[in-house]
Amino acid sequence: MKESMQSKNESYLTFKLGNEVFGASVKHVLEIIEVPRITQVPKAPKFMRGVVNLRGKVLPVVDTRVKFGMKTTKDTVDTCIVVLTIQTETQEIILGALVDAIDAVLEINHQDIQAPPVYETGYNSDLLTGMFKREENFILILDFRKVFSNAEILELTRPEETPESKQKKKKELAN
Amino acid sequence: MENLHQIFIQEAAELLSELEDALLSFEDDLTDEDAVQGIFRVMHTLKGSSAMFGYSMVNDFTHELEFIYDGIREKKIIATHEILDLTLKSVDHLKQLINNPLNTSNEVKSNQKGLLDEIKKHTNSNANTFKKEVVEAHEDEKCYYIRFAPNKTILKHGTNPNYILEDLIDLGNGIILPSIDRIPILSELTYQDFYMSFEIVLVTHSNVKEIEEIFMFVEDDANIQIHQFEFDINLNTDLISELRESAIEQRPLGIDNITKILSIKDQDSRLSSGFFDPQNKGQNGTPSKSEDKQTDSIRVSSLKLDEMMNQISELVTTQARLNMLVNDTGDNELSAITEGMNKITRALRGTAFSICLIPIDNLMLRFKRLIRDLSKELDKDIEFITSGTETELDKSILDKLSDPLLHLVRNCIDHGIETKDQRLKSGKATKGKISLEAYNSGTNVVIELKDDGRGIDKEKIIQKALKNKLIKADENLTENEIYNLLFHPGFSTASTVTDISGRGVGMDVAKRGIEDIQGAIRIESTLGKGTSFKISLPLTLSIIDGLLVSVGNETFILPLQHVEKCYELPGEFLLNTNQPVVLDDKRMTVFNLREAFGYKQTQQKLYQVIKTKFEGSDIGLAVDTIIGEHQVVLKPLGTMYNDQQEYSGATILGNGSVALVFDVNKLVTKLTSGEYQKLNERKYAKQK
Repeated sequence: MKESMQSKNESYLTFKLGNEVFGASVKHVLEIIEVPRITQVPKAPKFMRGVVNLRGKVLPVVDTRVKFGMKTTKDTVDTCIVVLTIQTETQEIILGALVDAIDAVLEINHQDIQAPPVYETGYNSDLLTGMFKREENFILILDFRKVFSNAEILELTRPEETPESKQKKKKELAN
Repeated sequence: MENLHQIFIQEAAELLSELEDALLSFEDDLTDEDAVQGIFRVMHTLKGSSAMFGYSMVNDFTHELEFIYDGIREKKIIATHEILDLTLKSVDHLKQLINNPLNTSNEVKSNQKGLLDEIKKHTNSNANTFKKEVVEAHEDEKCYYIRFAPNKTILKHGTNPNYILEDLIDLGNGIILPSIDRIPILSELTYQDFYMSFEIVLVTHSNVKEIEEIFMFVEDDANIQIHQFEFDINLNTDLISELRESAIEQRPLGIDNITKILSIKDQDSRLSSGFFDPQNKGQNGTPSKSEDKQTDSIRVSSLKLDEMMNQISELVTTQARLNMLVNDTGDNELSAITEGMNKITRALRGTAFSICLIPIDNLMLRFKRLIRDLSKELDKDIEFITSGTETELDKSILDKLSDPLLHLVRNCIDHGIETKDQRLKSGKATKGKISLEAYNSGTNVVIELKDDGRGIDKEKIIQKALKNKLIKADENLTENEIYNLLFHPGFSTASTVTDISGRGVGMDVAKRGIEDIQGAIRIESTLGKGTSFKISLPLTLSIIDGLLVSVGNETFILPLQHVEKCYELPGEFLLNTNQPVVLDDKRMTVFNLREAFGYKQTQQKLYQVIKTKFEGSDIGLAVDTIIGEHQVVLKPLGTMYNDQQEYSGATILGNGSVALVFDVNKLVTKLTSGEYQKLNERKYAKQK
């Protein structure tokens, strides 16, 4: 613990989701790709956008906005897929996470990282590990492993939730 | 070291199954000398390698066991079924020892002791003759000529020929004459290769067998001759120097020259006929089967094979993209090259594919043993006939087929074949028959398991199903539907639960296991005549032939093995979900996939309906269009789509996009169970 309190730097990838900028440790990030044609899997949970061809491998793509309960928008030229590798207890999963735009890769000193905010942020704050300040803004750090780990997904794929969340999305879009 | 242990365990497992096989064929013919040789050889190898890896219990045990077969080989012990039973039990024990080397519980120990006592009973009765023989062999010294010519590559296998020579000389008194005739000129010399060969004249008490043992681990890496001279030689300094001198003049000296030199000294030129060549160890001169196998095959880890298959799949996909691109350019030269490459890719895929196939034969041994043991236990006389076991299946399928098939075979033995008395009463031969036939049928492999037992009593099934409330009294079931009830979890018509089956778990486990590897099972039976299980399986799971279809904006692959016929149907027929449609004068339930997937309904004029079989009845799947046939390299969808079992995977199309591959059985299950409908209805209800 002491060691990490001292001047240890770690790289963080920052990206945009909606109006907010998030950060996440680069240790899970394999690469960042443009959005190719995504093949939808019928009747799959809404947050699973579909599958894409990643150099001959089938890569499942998670719609991060849906996963966080945010409004869905149309993909833009800036939208891209962050290819992640997540080590769960039993296996290694490779998946793509859709984000609205890639921002930067920053070296952050451990000492500059503060505890995550407790106030209502509009998304699942269990998934945050901390935050740091860049200029005048706070950037929230996401724990990719928690966000995309199997248990988390299983919880979200409960069949009862799928149509309801779909419904919710529809209403939100209509408004 | 861990790695070496793994290799040992794997090898030991193979040896044991080889041993089991040899034992079972020996049982059929107790006078089969080849089989005894085989049994002895396997035991001996097992003994050697277990000692090398420190499996002392295995080593001790096989050492004793070996005596029996040595005795049989030497015609001192008469082979009996009792001995065979004991040996088979010993094989089981050895399996346990090898799989759990750390398990030194009292149970294992007492088991070992019990078996050893029994083994000794058999060997002791002959102990006197045995001892005498051993002593005799040690009484007088014999003279051997040994030629040891290691292969160039022997050093790569970590063998040091010097140690072997040392071991040889340790046996007695001898002289080593090295030959350097194989040493190439300096520029061709490599430090990794071994060029020397040796001739040894050895005077020793040991017999040929003991000399052989020294060479046990280099048999395959060297050319070895052992020759016993009939005359006695005293290797004095005169003789040694004469041999040395002659050896300088001519290398290698050769057996004839040495004989000459020695016979001049001894005045006796008769040679014994005990010529030994390890390649022809079976003493009747026929090389045994397994040695053949060793020479023309290599061992490759299945991980490497998987990797190769993946890479070739990649190549196939890339090739498809290239083909498409070339067609667009219209460049003649380029398309000619692409054409050529296409052919090579196809051929390569075929070859790689065939590497991963193994004959069903590999499974049969387990069944032979099972049938033997169970029929003894149940006092039934059963003959097991196999045919077409050279039919090949993908390794991954074969591995998963083993358990379901085992359940079915158990079922045949326990429920199918009647007891001897019952068989006599119904006018059948007392000996029951279980046959297993495998053959290729189109893109499938069919395995038919038949017995000539009592057959399935349909009435009994219906009664039981009524009792368990699986069906209603007024239901009119087809024969197939009745038999399918047998696959229901917890369904068993056996009135008594035996050790073997009757708990009602077997059949549904078997069915599920077979469906997991995309197979289908069908029962046919005639009461009193017998039952047959017909299992059809895909050749492989990784590359399949499929029909490319489109539904909505997406394209899907339907495995061709499930496609029976295609129809065109006007859209108005499909207004209602799973409304029965009459096609070819037959009523068929048709599911509109567009609707089932919750895609927007368009006023499409024509739908394509694909007819497929599901649990024996016809089912139609309506898609927007059929694009054509497509060879599919199957890729996993990943754990994130665990709930989407209706897709067996996905594939990359020529244009680089991904198409999902249907698992037709599971898709139809979801469609008929109304799971999709529920999801859709809920959606509509909420919208209202």
